[in-house]
Amino acid sequence: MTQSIIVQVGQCGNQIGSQFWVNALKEHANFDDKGIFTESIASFFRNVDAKNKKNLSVTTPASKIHRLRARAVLIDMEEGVLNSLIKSDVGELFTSTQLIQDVSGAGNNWATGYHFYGKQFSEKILDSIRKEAELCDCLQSFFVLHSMGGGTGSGMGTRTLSLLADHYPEIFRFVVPVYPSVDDDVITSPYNATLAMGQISEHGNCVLPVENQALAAICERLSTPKVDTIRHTVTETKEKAFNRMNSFVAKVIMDITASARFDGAINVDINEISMNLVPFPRANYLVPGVAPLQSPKMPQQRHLDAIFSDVFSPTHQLCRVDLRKGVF
Amino acid sequence: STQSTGVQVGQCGNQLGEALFETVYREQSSNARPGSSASAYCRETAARFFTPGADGGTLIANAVLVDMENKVVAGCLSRRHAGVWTYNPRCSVLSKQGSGNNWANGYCNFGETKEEEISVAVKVLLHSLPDLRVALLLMSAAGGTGSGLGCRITELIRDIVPGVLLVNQVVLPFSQGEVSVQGYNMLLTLSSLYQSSDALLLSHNDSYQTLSRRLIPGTSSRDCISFREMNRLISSHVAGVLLPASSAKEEEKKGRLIHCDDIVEHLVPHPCYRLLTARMMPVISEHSRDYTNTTWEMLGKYSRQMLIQNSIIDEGLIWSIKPRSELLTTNKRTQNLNVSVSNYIVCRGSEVALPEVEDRFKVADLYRNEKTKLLCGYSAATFDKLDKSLFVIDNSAKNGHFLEDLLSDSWLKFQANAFIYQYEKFGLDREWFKESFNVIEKVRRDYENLLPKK
Repeated sequence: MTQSIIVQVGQCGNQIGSQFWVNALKEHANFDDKGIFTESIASFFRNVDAKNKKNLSVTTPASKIHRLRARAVLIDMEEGVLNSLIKSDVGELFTSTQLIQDVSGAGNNWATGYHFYGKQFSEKILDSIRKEAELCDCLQSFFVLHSMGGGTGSGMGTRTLSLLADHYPEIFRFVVPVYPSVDDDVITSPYNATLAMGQISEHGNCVLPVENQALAAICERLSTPKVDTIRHTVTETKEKAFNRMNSFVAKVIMDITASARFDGAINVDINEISMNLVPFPRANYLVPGVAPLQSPKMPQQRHLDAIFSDVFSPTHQLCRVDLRKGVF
Repeated sequence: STQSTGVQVGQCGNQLGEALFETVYREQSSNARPGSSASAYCRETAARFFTPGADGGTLIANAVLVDMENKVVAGCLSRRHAGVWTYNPRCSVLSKQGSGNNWANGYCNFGETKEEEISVAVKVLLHSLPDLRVALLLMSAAGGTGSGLGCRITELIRDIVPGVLLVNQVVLPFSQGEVSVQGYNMLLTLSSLYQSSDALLLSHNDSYQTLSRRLIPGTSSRDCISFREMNRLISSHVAGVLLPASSAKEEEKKGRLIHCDDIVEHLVPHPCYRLLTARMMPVISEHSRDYTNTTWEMLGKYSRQMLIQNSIIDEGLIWSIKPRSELLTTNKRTQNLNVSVSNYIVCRGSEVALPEVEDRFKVADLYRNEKTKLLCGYSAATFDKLDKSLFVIDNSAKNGHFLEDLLSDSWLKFQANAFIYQYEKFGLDREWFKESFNVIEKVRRDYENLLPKK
């Protein structure tokens, strides 16, 4: 089985990333609660011997999990998000070599992120990636998570993407860019998004665009009627709402890779996604849709046919596109 | 006895191969009874497909397992089937990345990087099979490993043991589409195998799904059928043909068998015609067996009609389509008659009136240029505990029918240059594709020309 490295850049990227790691741990715990280090966990995590800090590989008979480390590189030019991530429950998954930080931020400017910080931190980024790649038995893909509207996410995110394209041309690059919504409060977001998009089209193998609006609408449908929507200005509620949205994106990434990580009648590997869905190198934008969308508190029985027609409708997509008109 | 080996390539090939060996072993053990002919049958079955293990009482399947992704083969190697037989881990080749549904990745890339390892695994197997006559390669045509690497392995085995006959059991995908590039992969596979293999036994997922539905009581056309069910059916068809049979009752008593290579040589007399289909009667669920009474007349009648219409299901048969010699008046419908290059039928079970069944298939109209080419096999041993069962494997005109749609769909994509860059990455160019189109178009034409002109 193969491994993937998650590269999370900027505030949005790291927030989605943190939800990803929470969900990944939950998924594996549900699948196997005996604490055994299997091939499927190994695709996103390393197993480290607590005493010697030595990397343990998957063995037969299977060995126990001692300490898990995420296969990830975390990049942010501001301190706030990464610091709270390290202090959180999943903080133990990361070592200092996996973090690339600065203090001042990129000021919502793509050029600052791409050219200024991008140049300054190129070596360090490549170094961290190399260290993670060396710890992989068979590295197959990178997942790059970032927003398009800001400075770090869009600028450094795309700079990292082009570095990966240059130095690891054989490894698949999945990009999950979060596009700004109509009421986005960053005034330069259209410029940042456009500049970043040129890079993504060029260097991403598969792009799974996510729109905040679409996500918000989905989460609203999933939440119980009592909870307020994002318009409520209480900070706690807003944070919870973003967590839910980020968690949803994280689940999508896990679902796409589930067939490669777990056994089944037809195993669809990650490289097959690119082969089947990208007929021309520049036609690399894929629209992710999810069905059924059910609040866990109110599950309904959905027929398989209904699930299939739902998954193609705009209300179930992470990016509101009318597939029949073929216009983004 | 004649030994044969299986080579399981890719997910489908390995899952199907496992089902096949399970079927063969089941037949071997269910027919184990005191009595000389029964025990001879079991001995021959075991000898054809298994080698005795180091500790008495265990068997090792004659097989090489190859996959570029490790889950399926790891599963096969870990199981001790029926508590008796296993696979030999030294005859397996694994990798981690998978072929990504890319024929060129399987054929060009892994074909080169894994050649050495695969050669070694094959030679380890050959060491225990001095009398190998036939190699059966199990693979799908739509994926990347089974199709691409499967084709390369076919060539490799040909190089290592040129005297052994190669039969490829190729699973063709659902026509609705399982994989976006299945058309290309099928085209490249069939074209490559036509140049390196001796016979191609084709199984269409569409047909086997419909057939499986018949066997599971209560399923409607909307219910899902698992691949496991379908594999079981495909392996019944293949096993029914490869299990021991003799040319007559007396021959069986004397222990003289039809060898697997004789079957292949009979079915493929001419290099232009290599596509085979396997069919079986009766098709009844476990549940319905107690209520069904079969006669050899009925089995012969239905299976011949299935051949005439190129169906593997005994439903929806149009009985008015008959050989001319059996019609009372001339009828335009005879133009829809299937014409065979050659046929092989096997009757298994009790009290076979072999000539009765044979006569049905000896009608000249059913053969190319009206030259009857029929081989008949017989065995007193039952198959799947069925009192009577009849297997037909044919090299007939309608086997090439599906190539028409395959060519037109793939040509459209090719002209738009869709997905081609994925294949070019591994060294396949447009010229290779064009060549494959030419090869398959010729096969299609050759088979179509077997049918009488309108």
